[in-house]
Amino acid sequence: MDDIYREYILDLYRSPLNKGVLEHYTHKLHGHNANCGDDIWIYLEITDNQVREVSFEGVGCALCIAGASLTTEKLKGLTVDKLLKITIEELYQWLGLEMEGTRVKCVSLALRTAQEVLK
Amino acid sequence: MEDKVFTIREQFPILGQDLVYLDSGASSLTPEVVLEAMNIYYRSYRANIHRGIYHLSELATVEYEGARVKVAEFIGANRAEEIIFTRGATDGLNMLAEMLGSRVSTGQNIIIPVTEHHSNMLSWRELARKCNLEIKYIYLKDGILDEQALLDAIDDNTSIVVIGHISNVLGTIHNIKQVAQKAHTKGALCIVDGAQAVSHIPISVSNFGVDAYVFSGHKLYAPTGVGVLWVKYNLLEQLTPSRNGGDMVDYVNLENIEYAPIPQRFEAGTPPIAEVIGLARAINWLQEIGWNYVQFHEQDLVQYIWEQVSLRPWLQVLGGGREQLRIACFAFIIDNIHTHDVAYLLAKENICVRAGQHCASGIAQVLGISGSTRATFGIYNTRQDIDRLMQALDKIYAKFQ
Repeated sequence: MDDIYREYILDLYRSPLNKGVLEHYTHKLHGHNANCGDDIWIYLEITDNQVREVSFEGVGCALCIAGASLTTEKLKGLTVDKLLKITIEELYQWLGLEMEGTRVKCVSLALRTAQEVLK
Repeated sequence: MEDKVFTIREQFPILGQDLVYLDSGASSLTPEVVLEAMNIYYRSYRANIHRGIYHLSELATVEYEGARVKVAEFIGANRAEEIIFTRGATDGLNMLAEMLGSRVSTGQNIIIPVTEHHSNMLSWRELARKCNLEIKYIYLKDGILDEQALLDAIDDNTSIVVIGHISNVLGTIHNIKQVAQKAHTKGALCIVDGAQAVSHIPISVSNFGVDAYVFSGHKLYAPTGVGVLWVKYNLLEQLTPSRNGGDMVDYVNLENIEYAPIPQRFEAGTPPIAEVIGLARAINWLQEIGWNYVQFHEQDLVQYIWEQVSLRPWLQVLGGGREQLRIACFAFIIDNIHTHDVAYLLAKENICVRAGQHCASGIAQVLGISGSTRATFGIYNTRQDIDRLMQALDKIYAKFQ
């Protein structure tokens, strides 16, 4: 079986971090992967140009949910400028693995969605 | 009889690469004889049809028109002129929805089962929007289309009833004859999407009594890019072509147009000639194998899948239980494992399945699921393919526990 489904990825899928709706969110953003059905909402609480709290809700594959767990965890405390500059390579560093093909979209959905915050 | 499948598989060299191909519902593989028929066209009589006053063009025209006769015979049409070649089922359904705009009026309704593939839903929704038709959706009962509710919904204001002959997710076979009969008592048309049916069960449009029947070649062991729109002749006579261009007019000057006879008037432009020739060859090939064998073999696969599923309570098959009449199309879900993870991990074992909503989002929506994993079988699949699938599913299930 494929090695991108490592135990910690599956753990993040089974017990996701930051799952739920923030009580005092300032931004609610929708992300969707049309060809595989990953469908999530990102909640951000931003004050003074700084991300205070992050959470997500929704359904997706193991890679999408693991990606959302780690992304929401890492965004806390960042400035909005830094949030917008995070690259896919940084995401891969957090995850400890790289993706290819259609799975890139799954794992990066939460990040790409959060980066829509100023639009 | 079991040995025959191995002879059939020789027509598909791609299967030799340890491939378990379980996505024939999306697109079936193409046998060598079909590729050869298209090769012969390209190599020895490659020319346009209906136009050239030379031998090659005449030969191409004979083959192309011969394909029309072959298709008509295959689906039990009364006249070859009722066969219109298209780019595929989606193309045919879009054409039909455009052309029927002149036959509907504000305040009428159109009946659409939620089980429909987007190709047999979105163009009708667009027709409804343009012509102010009320849409009546028909829902599921006990996991399958509620056919009684569909019959009951047809009323004096119904203009069109659309229905898939076989659901592309549930694999269930619908009683389209009964639907057509009820539609006709109310003066409505019955339009059938046969994309999932034509390679699995014998078709007789005249016996079914429907008004239009649409399918693709590429799910029928034929090439991509070709399809068939069959419409009853007296309905065709009332329709104005939705596509205009070359080869569909008899006489044209800067003021006037006289359309060519049926069916040429509905086939504007150069059609997919090689693909039409390939389609006729695919049909021939299937007929040589014979419906008895096709149905016997595929129903054997259905029974074997059920046996295997019954050993795995964590596999939840959509579309009713074992008693439900179906083709070898199995969409399933596994609790707490997303369909894309399943399909991805199966792909790593060289097993091709489809994951997601299968272009039929209505089913996922009413069942409240994000999607399903779908294994669909063709005439070349074997019990060994099912064993490979089940062994791989066991590993995936174990991994996620």
